[in-house]
Amino acid sequence: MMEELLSTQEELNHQSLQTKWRLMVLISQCALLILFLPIPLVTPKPIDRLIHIDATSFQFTPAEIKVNQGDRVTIEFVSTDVVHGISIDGYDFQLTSDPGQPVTGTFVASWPGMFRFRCSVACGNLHPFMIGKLWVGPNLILIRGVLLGILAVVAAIFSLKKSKVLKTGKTS
Amino acid sequence: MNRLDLTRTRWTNFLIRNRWPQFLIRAITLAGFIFTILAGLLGSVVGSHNFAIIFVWIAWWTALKLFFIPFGGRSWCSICPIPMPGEWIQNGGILQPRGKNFGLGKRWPKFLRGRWLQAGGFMLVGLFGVITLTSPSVTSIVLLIILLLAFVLALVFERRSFCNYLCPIGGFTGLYAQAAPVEVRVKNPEICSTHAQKSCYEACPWGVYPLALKSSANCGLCMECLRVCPSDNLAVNLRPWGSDLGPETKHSLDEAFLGLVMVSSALMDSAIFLGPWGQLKMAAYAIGTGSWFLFAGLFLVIALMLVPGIYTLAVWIANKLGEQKMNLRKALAHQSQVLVPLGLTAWIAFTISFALAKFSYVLPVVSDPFGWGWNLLGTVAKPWVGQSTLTSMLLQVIVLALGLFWSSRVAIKISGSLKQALPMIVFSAMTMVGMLWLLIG
Amino acid sequence: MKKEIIARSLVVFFIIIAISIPFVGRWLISRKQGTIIDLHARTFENGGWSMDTLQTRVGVPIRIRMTSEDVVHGFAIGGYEMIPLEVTPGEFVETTLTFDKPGEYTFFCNRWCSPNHTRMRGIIEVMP
Ligand code: SF4
Ligand code: SF4
Ligand SMILES: [Cu+2]
Ligand SMILES: [Cu+2]
Repeated sequence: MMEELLSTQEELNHQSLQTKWRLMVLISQCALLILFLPIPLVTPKPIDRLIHIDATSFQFTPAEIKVNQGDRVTIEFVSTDVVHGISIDGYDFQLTSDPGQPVTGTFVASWPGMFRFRCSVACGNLHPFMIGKLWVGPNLILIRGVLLGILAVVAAIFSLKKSKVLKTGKTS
Repeated sequence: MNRLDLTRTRWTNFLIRNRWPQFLIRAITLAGFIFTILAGLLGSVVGSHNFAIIFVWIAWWTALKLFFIPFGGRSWCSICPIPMPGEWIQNGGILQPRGKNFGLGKRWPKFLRGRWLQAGGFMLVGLFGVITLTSPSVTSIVLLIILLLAFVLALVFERRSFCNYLCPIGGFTGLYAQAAPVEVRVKNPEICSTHAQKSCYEACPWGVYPLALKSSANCGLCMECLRVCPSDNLAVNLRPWGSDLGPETKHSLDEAFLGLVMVSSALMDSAIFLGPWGQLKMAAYAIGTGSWFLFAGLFLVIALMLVPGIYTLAVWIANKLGEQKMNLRKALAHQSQVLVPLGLTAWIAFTISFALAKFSYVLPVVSDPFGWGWNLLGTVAKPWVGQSTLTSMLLQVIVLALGLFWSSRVAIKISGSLKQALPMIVFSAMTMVGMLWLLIG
Repeated sequence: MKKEIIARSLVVFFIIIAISIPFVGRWLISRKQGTIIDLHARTFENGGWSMDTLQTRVGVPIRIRMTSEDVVHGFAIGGYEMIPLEVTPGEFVETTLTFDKPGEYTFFCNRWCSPNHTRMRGIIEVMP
């Protein structure tokens, strides 16, 4: 990308190259800030939650779960047809249920973000795609992503605007 | 121009020019291809334990999108085994340049030219994607059909007609090769103009005249032109990313269509394979049933009407805002360049989310390709359940943002003014937010 | 021309290797396995057990290698003491059974694998 950025201004002189670099550094700093700046959030007081999840080939019901960070989440998991399992990406949590036999497990939702949960017992052709989503707290990374997108557009506009001005300045 | 010509360095020149390295790789990929077909047909019906599924859909498909295309454009096509048997017959030998022309050598019919069929083929893959992705035998049959079709077409039509007009992979690689950092170009056009024989054009299996190459979309990087040029006038350049995208390059409506199909497919695949909607997955799987037709209808509405509709609207507004008005058809083709970085990065982000989680299946399946309980290399281990971690999500966000940056730049570069570029930027941003929402939302 | 011949033979050679891996491999394994019975588990809708009847004699051990082709199944035998086995797709479990009494034993899947799960069964005929 850096090369692409530079390529369009091959006629540019050394000085404008420097501005270019400065711009690049500035933009990447902004990008890093957007991605990693810790955002102090008031998390609601952690509570205990009981969530019931049904598993049917190849769907969890509910497949979308929201909890707050720090909540103690107890999942009551039951399969309604064949043996299914549930495991949550990024969490050390796994349950397996025989049809009709509920199992429960508890974890503390200490990591914020969006986590997919998947069936962990091969249950048929679509097993690899049996997926649900768990949100712990607000989905900061999505917000960061959107902000980064805005930055990307601004950066694109800036990077070319500068060069056009300089180019016309040079040829006239 | 900032190009690095690989033919000027001794060892790269040798690797490119000598027929043996490329031939050996292709011979191995051909054998691998046949092995894959056999594995899918004979091996376990359990996809995650079958070489065919894991190698085609996890290893190769990922490598194509994360490695071959972004770093080498059509580099896959230069080692692709699919046209090899047909070319062997056409040229009367494996190490031969084109010339003998065995076969009927018909020209590909005019009305089937362009990228329409490739786009259609890609859409078919999408419509039957869930079953292909989970059933080893279906994967094998698809591969077999592609191999046979390429062979038969090579006997009937001239050169690589299959690659140019039919191969869905070729559509994919060709479209995004325009953004890739490799190109074959003529070193000095003046030498060409005094050379009446046009050996390079005669030798090019893709029917390309290198002197006229403006975009890498149709050049398969097969290096034949380089090998026959008597004046050593062809260069293999490393170039900046996105070099073929700009205000001057020519584009046609079929490219816009292909680009849109790819973008819609990336969105649809993210929804089907990574979304929490079981109904959608099952409908996509249950081919022939009512719910599948519903799914197919939805797929086609999105790929043929919704996304192209929004795109057309954006182009129409952009055209209205511009100083010189083009006719809409031309504008649609011209703006299609924005779809190249957009689609490429959308696919990369999808792949990061989809495949990295499943990469632990690759080693076990090398040890036990047929799922018969072998352990050839001792790498059979229970693969951990796929996880998409925070790092992978950050990567996806960064890739999508880069894509938006890139496509916005292309939009601005090919438009007369910033104002005129805005609708296309909005279109790109919508696509990116859509991907973001599906992948990490 | 000599190079061309080498190239052609190489292509053919690689392809022969590719083709022979599954066939030779299968043959080698079937030789090594000898009397092991391969039993594949599928849901009743997909065809059930790949064999309906197994035969043996009293006191003669019978070795079975099982795998599932779709979902997790189980393996248990009525009237025969054993820990039920778990039959996981893509993986193999082996067991050796020895019967002391003649008769017909029913083997069945003990995990709920489909609506017709209870019909997923077969017979072991033990002859005196
Ligand atoms: S177009 Fe298709 S068949 Fe032809 S070389 Fe490329 S991938 Fe292979
Ligand atoms: S232009 Fe050269 S490298 Fe490109 S396809 Fe034709 S012969 Fe091959
Ligand atoms: Cu399941
Ligand atoms: Cu069963």
